[in-house]
Amino acid sequence: MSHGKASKLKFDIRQEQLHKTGQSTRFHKLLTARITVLLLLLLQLLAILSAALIPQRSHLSPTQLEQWQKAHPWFYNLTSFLGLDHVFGTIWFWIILILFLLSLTNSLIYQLKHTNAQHTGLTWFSRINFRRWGGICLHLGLLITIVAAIIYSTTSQSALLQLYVGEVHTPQDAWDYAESGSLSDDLRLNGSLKLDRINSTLWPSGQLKQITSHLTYTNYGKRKHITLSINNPVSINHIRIYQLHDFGKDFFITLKEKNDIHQLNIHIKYPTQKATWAYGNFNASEIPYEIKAKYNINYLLQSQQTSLVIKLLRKNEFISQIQLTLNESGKLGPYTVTLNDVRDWTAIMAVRSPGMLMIFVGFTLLIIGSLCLYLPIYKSNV
Amino acid sequence: MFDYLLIDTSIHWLAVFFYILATISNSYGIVFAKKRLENWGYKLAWTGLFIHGLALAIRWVVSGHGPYMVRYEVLSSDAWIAMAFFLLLKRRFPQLKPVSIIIFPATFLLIAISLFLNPAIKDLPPTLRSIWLVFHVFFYKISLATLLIALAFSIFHIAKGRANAKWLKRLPDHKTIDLYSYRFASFGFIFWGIAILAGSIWAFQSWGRFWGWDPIETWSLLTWLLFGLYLHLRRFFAWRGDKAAILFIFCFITSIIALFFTGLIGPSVHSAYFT
Repeated sequence: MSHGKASKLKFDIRQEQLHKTGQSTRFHKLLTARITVLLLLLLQLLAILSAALIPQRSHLSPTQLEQWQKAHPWFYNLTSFLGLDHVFGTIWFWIILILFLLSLTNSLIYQLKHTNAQHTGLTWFSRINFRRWGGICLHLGLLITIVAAIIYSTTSQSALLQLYVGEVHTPQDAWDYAESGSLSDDLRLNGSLKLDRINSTLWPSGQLKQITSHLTYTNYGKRKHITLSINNPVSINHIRIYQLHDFGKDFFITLKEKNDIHQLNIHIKYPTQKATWAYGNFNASEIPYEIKAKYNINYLLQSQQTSLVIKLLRKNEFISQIQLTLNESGKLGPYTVTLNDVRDWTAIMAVRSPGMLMIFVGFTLLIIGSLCLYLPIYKSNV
Repeated sequence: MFDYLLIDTSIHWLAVFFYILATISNSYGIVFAKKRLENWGYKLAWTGLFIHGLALAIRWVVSGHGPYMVRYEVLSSDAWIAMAFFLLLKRRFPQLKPVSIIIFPATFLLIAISLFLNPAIKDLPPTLRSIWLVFHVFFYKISLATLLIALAFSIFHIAKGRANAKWLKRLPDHKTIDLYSYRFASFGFIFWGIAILAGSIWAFQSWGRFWGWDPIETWSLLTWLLFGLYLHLRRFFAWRGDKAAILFIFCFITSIIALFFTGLIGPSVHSAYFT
């Protein structure tokens, strides 16, 4: 290649680099422009406002969603089309969020490059530019929080489980309900979990004060006793186990009519308000009756003495009623009913949440930043 | 027979009585430049605050938990914090005195509304027994107190520019009022953020998730972002004066909706809080 051609090539490459640098500078300027930041902030506000005003699918049961759809057909179609009924799962929300993050990152880099201390002072403390560092902290905290929250939402795992006293949940067993982020599988414990016993304490008014589950976690033959209570979760191998509010009794009954035998499980939850009885309804497709049942909660957790009152109805018309204790039998309408077993149960939740520490670090930086930025009185009055 | 609720509401009504007297005396003193009446207003407010505080303290001892379970005690404690915050700050910063014309009626309105609600004591459910809940609720109350002061200054700024009343002319100049409005709005922004953080920690401890886009959580975040927008507009777009004041009033209305009304709009994990 001749000298002239090599020079021209270098010049062209340089021009291309300058052109790209110019483009990146323009892009950087566009991202960090005050109007861009304001616009992105406003768009996010509008997105959150729409989520606040329009019922979100994730907060409604299928029945509630259907009712809302029937009540507002044209509005439902519009919101569904625009994604306003599941704002935080729409592509446009994520685009706004990513642009906001890019803007924030560019702004932070710019702020960090221009943090030369302007103050003079005798001590190192007085020379710190708190206002500028406050701004950096606040925006860095915001950035860390949002990024960590994205990691959390895409990788977190949670699962619900109802356990009977004496029951063992192994890693191969399915959860009653499981949820996981788009980048993770269903949660899996490394060992087995056995519910040993449940204790509950009540206020004098009869309302629940605390519920405590005693469990045994077994992993490779090693046993660990766990005590769970509400607001006191336990951590096992980065999985937090939570005690939920739900507990009660399951009553296993047999209904016998000539040669027909039906095995039913009447699931009754302990009431949340003060009450003498805990109630449960049961509709079995195999029998043409409805069953209503109750047990006296003064006999709470003394399963062997608990008596169950069963009422048989047909199209809301009372047919028969009976009270049974364990292993007792009696006549209920056309059936001979036997109470075979009573089992206490409670519900627990297992959660794995990567990124939580970073979220709280982000929050802390955010607060420190806003304290530095807005608490002191700076010379320039805004 | 010892009827605690009767005693509780009676003491509250006594506090309301003193607050009303304080409002009348103080407002008259400010508007008609009667310094003695104005100062009597502050003394009556202090008396009302003491009586009100006594009622809340007794209720705390009897119920075994702080005033954050039922709406009655929530509104009452919000009023107490707002009044206490103002009266303490006023001693340090006398320029805040005229704000009493907004704070005093706001306080007795809050407490008066609470007295029309069910005062029955509710036992604390296990989920609400956490120190983070205490921080969460406390910082929201402090935030409300600072936002009320900022609201007062915003109203003063708008009124001073539009009305020709003599008492408005005795208020600090526009620039000072604007500055105070900004300062207290930024305090509100900080404390609101701390309250959200404490709430997230509590939620993670109780429910296994730090954020669930619950209606109350969503409105709270919306309010915080709105205040952030307000501060950005002030700092980078030189929004001052009436423009900023009107925006702040809009932000304040959002904060009231977030604090008091979102629990009524739809189901929420905070439902136990708003009974």
